Amino acid sequence: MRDETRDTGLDPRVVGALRGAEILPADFEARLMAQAEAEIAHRRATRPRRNWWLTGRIFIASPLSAFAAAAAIAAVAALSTLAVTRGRSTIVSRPDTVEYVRFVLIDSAARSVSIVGDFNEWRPDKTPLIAPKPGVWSVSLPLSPGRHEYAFIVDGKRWVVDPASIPSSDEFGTESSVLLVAPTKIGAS
Amino acid sequence: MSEKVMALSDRELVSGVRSGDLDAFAALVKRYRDAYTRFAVRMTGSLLDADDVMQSVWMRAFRNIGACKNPDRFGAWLYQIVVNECRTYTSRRAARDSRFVDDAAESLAALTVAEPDVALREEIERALDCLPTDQREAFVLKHVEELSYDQIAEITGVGVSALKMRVCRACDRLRELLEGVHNA
Repeated sequence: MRDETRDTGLDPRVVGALRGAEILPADFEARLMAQAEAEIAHRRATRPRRNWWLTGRIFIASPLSAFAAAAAIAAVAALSTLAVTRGRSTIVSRPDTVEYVRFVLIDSAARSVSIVGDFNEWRPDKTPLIAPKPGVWSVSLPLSPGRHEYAFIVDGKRWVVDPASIPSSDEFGTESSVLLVAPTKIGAS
Repeated sequence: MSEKVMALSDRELVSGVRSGDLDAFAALVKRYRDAYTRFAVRMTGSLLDADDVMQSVWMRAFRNIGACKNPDRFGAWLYQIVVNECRTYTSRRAARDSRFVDDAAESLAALTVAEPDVALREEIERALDCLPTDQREAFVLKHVEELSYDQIAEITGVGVSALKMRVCRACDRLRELLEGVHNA
């Protein structure tokens, strides 16, 4: 293929720099498949079931087969009761779904940043943030829908409340941030 | 995942995803995982943002796999979703918090002493970020991804002559913005 870069009048270094390969993080597929699995589980749980026993049917039974027919009808009734029971229990039980939330903290002076919250037992060593751009620290976490409290720990000791979030304080006056995670609406795009 | 699944054609894998086969979906993800990452990075400005966009792209593809009319050309269909998702992301970001995050990141980046190659690359990326989205998209598809105008027209839904105009304007603007690089 003819390289058309020369037609642009641009220095070849410009296009060369932009053509460098970019690779997604190693956990990209795992995070994606977790989302897909949660969605499949949700679809299965909320799929409408056909009330096949409500559709009209004609049964023709001779006197000789009356006992067999009665037994068959009893069996069908028992099975349909089981199906209804199973269906109900599946619908009322919610599948385990998670939402990926990205936390960002801008701090040019920080040498390390981690996040603590109810999702990691408030352990500062558990969830470090990374800074692909200088001073822009971030991490994406899978969180279950609901209310979560969290805070950032800068340089292993400084407690920082997220300025972009709802503040909250516990009975000892320690401030933290509140995040409300809504469940994904299946089918929404 | 078995080698047998990985050896299936796009058409077979798309058919598997339609019937709820997650292994088939995983095989498609593996096959196309990084095919469009560079484009997403150039459009969004960072690998972190591109990661978000590509997660969204794949979930959109997963939900709407029934709309893939020609499963043999799954890659081209996916490319259309990537382009649309990048457009949505950049327009939302412009309206939302780009001033806060990006300006802070830029000013912080300017404070750091970078290696010459890194500095050059950052300057080029900043110049690319200054282009309007439609020009950036056309330029990246043409000169970074090296697609033909016909291919770009199919993916973006924009006519060839309009695309040529956008690429031409993007090149003019980049030459202006990168005058220092050209005179070095």
